[in-house]
Amino acid sequence: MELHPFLFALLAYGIAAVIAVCVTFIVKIISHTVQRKKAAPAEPPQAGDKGGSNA
Amino acid sequence: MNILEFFQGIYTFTLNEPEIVIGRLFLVALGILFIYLSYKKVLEALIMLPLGIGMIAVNAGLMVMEVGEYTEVGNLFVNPLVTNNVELLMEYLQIDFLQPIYTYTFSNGLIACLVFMGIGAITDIDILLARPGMSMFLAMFAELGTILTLPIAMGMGLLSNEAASIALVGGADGPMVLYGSLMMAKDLFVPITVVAYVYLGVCYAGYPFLARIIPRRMRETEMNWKTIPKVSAGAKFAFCIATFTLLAFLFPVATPLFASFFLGLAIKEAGITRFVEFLSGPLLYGATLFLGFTLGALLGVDIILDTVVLKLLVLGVIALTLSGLGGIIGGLIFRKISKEPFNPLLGIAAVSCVPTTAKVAQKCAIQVNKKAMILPFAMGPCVGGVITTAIITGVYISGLKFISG
Repeated sequence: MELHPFLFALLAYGIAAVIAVCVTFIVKIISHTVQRKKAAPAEPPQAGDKGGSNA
Repeated sequence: MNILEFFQGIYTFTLNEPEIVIGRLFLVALGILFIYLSYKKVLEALIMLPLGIGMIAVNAGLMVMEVGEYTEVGNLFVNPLVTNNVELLMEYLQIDFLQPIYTYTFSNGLIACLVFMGIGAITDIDILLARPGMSMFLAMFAELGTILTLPIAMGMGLLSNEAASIALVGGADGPMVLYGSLMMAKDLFVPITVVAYVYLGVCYAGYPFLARIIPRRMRETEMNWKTIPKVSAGAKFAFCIATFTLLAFLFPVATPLFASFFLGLAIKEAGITRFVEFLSGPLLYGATLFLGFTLGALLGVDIILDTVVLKLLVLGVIALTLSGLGGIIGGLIFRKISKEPFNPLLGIAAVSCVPTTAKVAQKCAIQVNKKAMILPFAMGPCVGGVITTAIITGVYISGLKFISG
């Protein structure tokens, strides 16, 4: 298959645009994941960690 | 005995054709002009000063020399035409002092990769990650020259591989043009790369004039950089690895370039300071020095006597002007759709000459409003432009066989 130079250039632009959108999504996903990790509590409190004694 | 034979640079004028003599003198004068403009900081001194010295060296310092069984007029710098003759190449490697640099770092694209590693290590991707939509949107518009110059160049009679190589000048990324033209049009990589670097040097002076088509009230727009969210080092590191993996899968032919850039970037984001110091200092500047000097030494008179070079000069201007215009159009459109105050000069920054175009955008903004601090934002589209140019380079190299004509 051979394309006219202008069509080829348009195709190249289209491919680049699609990949640029993919890169944008990669950024969004990474940012979202990192934010969620930060928002989540580091460790759920354990029963025995509250201090004091039940004895 | 001819007394002039003591002074071989002058003596060889008597052996040359008149047009060669004029060409040599012209290139020596051009070399001096480049050096002067570098000294005056009009051109990018890091590249253009060594390039100017190299040009003077090979056009003034010609001599009669014996290589093997041949006697020829040549220089002691580099001979790019011997790569296919192994015996002769071995001889030149021992005679011409820049021949090892050319043979081992130019003809395989290594020098471009080394420069890219260094660029990766000094590139700030915070804004790209904080404002990915804006950065990539502007970057795509600023590729207008890279896209439209290809059919224009073919319309002017260039072959598809030559047209694709010169079109990459629109991406405004020196190492990318060098790598792309080496892959696609090896015979023309010297003039194409020189055209690219000369014009990139001139961008700093030329784009402010182009930016004046944006109404002054828009150029004055202040942007609040305090609203930029902070991006964690982990997110930046993950972005490097994920994007590199994606691009490597898509364009193996341009992977050396991607690998070099993202290696530098990943090292920076991982905080390996010893490597960062090495990549951003000795490696980047060492490679840039030898890149400029060897390019200058490759600019012999035979280059300008080639009629294709005139077309390349015209096409280089077209490519960079169209990319600048595309960036401005992108900036104006984004201003319309953006909810926050937006300065369309950021479109100029998206023409990806890191960090020159970002500095140009800031310079234009500050000329009309001293408080318009847009440089922190400008780095986003600037780095986005590097990524989009790399993608288009990959598409061009991989897809050349699909172009008719």
